[in-house]
Amino acid sequence: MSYAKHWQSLEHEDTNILLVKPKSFELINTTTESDEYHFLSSVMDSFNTDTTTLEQEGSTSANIVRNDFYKTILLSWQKRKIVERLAVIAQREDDWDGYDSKKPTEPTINRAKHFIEELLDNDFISARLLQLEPFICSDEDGYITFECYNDKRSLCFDIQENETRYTKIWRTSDNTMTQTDSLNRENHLTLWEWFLDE
Amino acid sequence: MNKNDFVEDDEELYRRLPINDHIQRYSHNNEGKVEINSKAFFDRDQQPSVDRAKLKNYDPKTSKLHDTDGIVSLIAGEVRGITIDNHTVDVIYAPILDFPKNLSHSLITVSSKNDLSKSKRKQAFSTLRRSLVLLSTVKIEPQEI
Repeated sequence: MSYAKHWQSLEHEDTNILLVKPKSFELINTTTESDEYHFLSSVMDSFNTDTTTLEQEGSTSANIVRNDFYKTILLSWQKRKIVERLAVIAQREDDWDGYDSKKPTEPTINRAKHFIEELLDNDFISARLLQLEPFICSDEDGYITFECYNDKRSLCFDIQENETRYTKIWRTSDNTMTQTDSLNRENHLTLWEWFLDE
Repeated sequence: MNKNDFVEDDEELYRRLPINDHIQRYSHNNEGKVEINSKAFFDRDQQPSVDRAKLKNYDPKTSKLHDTDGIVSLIAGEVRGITIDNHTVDVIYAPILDFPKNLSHSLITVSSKNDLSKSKRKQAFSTLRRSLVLLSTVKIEPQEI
């Protein structure tokens, strides 16, 4: 079995077992459910998951292990990626990009952390984070930017010390429309519902 | 004005996509395909450069500066169709006659109908870049070594 570079569904010819594999994990040659379980266990270990419980479940039903893999492991991995990305951005110094861009201030970073934590705590949004692959960065003024794109829509956030602004962009048959405004508790979920409603 | 000096709405445009360095301009999606973000259109002067495909013989490779560069394409009329409050988006032909000569060179501009603060100009440019991401098609993927 070849090692895929990115997230990928792999179907076993002999068992019809589907796996989704994050790129940072190497896949052992899984030809049996037992091997599959060992692979899942190794991934779970990297997240300090309670493998004992899962082992018990896995011994009776590989499906339970697979469900946990999707619901718990992949989501945890995605969450961790986002948190790690923010940590990298937080380490930036002034002129980090060679274009005189400012480093994000501590209050901005804290606001971004809070923004992302709230996002990840929302079941409706976090369940879709696997597909979203948001792009997180900082800009020339030290704002932290959070961008999500799909085929026809974009939802972006600019996080500053005292305010978070959103920009929604959508394609129509003739034009590309845009709207920018301040983010608040009332419009946050509505914006995500708009973006995710395909 | 020469008729060739105006970028027609149906013209294809090429934008060079250098490989990621300290600036992440793209990432790979679940299927391994390149997906760009707004950094792909960053420009210090807030006027991202593009090449007119028809003046490049419709060969995106000719817009590369380095072998590893990727190329994304846009349609001029779609770029002009980006609607940002109190702003006009345009594609302007701006050939470079000095070294490095580039007779296909053009600029994507966003200009305000009013005199705006620096932060509002920045916001408009940021919205432009994000809109351009939605309108872009990856023609050649950057080749990381």
